[in-house]
Amino acid sequence: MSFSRIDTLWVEKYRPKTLDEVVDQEEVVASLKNIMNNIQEMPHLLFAGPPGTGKTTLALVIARMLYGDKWREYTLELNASDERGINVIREKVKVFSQYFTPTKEVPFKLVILDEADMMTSEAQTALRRIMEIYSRTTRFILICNYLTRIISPIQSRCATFKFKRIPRELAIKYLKSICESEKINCSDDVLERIYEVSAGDLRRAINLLQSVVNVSGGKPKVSDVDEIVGKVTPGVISGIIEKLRLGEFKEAVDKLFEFKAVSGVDGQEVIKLILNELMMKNLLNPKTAEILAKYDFRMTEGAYEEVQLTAMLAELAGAFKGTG
Amino acid sequence: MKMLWTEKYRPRVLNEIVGNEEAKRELLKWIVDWQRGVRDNPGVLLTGPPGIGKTTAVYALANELSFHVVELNASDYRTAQSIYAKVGHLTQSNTLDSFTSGGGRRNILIFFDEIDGIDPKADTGGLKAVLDIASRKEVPIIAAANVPDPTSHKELLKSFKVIEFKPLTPRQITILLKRIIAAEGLSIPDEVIDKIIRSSRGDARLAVNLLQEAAAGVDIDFVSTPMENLPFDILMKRLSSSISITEIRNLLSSNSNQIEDVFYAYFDMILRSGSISLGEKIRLLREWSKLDILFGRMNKKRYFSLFRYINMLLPWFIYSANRAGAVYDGRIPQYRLRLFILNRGAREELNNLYNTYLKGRLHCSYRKFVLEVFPYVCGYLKGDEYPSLTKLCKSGAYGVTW
Repeated sequence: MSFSRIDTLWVEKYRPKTLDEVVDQEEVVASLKNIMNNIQEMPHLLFAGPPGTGKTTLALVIARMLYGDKWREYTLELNASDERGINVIREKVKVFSQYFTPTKEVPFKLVILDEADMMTSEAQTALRRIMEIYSRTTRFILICNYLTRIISPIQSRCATFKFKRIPRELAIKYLKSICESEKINCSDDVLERIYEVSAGDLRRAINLLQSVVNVSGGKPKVSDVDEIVGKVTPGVISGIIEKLRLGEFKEAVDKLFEFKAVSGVDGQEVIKLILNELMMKNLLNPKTAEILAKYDFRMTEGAYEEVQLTAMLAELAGAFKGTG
Repeated sequence: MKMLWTEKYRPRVLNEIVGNEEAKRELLKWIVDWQRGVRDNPGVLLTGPPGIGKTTAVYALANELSFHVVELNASDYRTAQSIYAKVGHLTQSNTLDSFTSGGGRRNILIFFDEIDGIDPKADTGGLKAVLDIASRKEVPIIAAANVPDPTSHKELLKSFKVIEFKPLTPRQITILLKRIIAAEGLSIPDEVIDKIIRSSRGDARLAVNLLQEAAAGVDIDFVSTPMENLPFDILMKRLSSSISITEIRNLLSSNSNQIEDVFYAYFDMILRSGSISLGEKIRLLREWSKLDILFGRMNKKRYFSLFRYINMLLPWFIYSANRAGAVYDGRIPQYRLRLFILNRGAREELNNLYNTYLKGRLHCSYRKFVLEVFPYVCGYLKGDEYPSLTKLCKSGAYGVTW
């Protein structure tokens, strides 16, 4: 197996292709069905909600509904976190939107802008005029985690849909259906455990399931789930925090930089991950929150990440110990 | 008040000046020619590093030949207007001065010291005024500069006679020191004299100053040696073994180009130190991170005035880190090495993996791929295609293998 076949990845292999296959988000799906009944009137769409709840999937479903198998020809899929500056908007989006004559079969082209909340506000400002000027030829689907990071002129130009975390029964039901297709025996307690650690994020749940199946050679156990969780993103961060609580400062720093070196995530992203983990562990209090906020700000000011992150871990260690 | 030896022993005649024999001869010849009416050049430009006798030579010459020196240096305003106001009248033949020049009155010599310090903006037209006054060839004009600039001093270099002064040799410095030691009746150990010679690097003024400090009982190791540029390793060794805030400050200020490296090296030392307690580490790292913000702001927003605070704070932080037990062991800062060199291979492979197989087919950004997909799929990687990534996953640091 290798990556030359993308359906190696279950998240892609089992990504729903029609509205009816989509897990949960009933209200969103119902409204979208109405909208798709009258395609000519389709507004720009803005999908907001936590990760792994089906936003990108729904956007791709809409692209398929509009253009069938030829959807790639008429769709520009952009990830704003990779290309977040104003130039992407001016060059790629504008050029894509400009040259097109609507036909009966293809009334407009589609731009899917994923992680739109990572765009700079300058880029968003550039986008808002493009959305207006080319609305005859192009529709936009913007996808974000945090609605507040989308400037209000853009929000007001879109029909906004809020996505909720996937509830337990539905998520587990979906994981079960994957197990059946793959002809694997997954006990309920394994799937329950996967749901607990993925907290309503279906992408993470499916990724976990696939890894657990691989690691266990097809007979997954609950302990496999726990082992894997410690080696993937939130788990690694969780391990760092545990080290700090034990006063193993040096080990925590080593672990963090190991993680940072491989993943290449920037310092502020690391702070975000730590913030989430502290929240999960009930360790987020005014003191720890202030520490994170302080160092986040310092990095915005251009300070050197390694120094700041190290000092931050030191301060967190002090806060857990009740010193410092 | 104690007299500075550099003044007390400043040579009064050219022959007393140690070294630069050729330059002294040329200077003397030029002024004698001038007096005889041979005026090929409108003036003389003395060049060379500080403290080797340029100014002294001018005053010694004037003393010997009975010239009155009118000096303009960097402490004076030197716009065209103020230069004309101060010395312009000296060159006009119809002034009172020239009538008395045949009598008992001394001749005049105009000395523009530190001419490379004429500020192109604040001293508008200053250089041009100097050239203009010199071109009248009525009064001898001598200028001095450490480093003439080929562009802004083009005219000056072209029309003036350039005489180069060189740093003194160790032997010449020894002669100078021995002369003063004898005159003061001192006994200075040879190794101290050697130290003075080494740190003065041919600068006679500095050598005499150091000698005076050594005679007063100051350990001259702790005395600043300007422009000292040490190799990084030696600088770190000296910094970390120092318990004198003054010494640390001097070392930093004379090696200011390496301050940022020193800063990060110390950061690493604190982090790795086995002897510093956690509480101390927290305190030190907090100080370090504050300073880091200054560095960051300075670099990001080009607020270079922030550098003065870094200069002020860093010596104290280094001092307190030394006291806490930070030790320099000659290693390259660990995390820099790790982040930027050791893992470069892994990062490149990761990028390659995404761009070759996944971009456009996996519906997520690179960032999301790295955080949320890659760790789950390590096991699919072929070791021969992605050696660094495979090794990393197998180490258990990040990612699941089977």
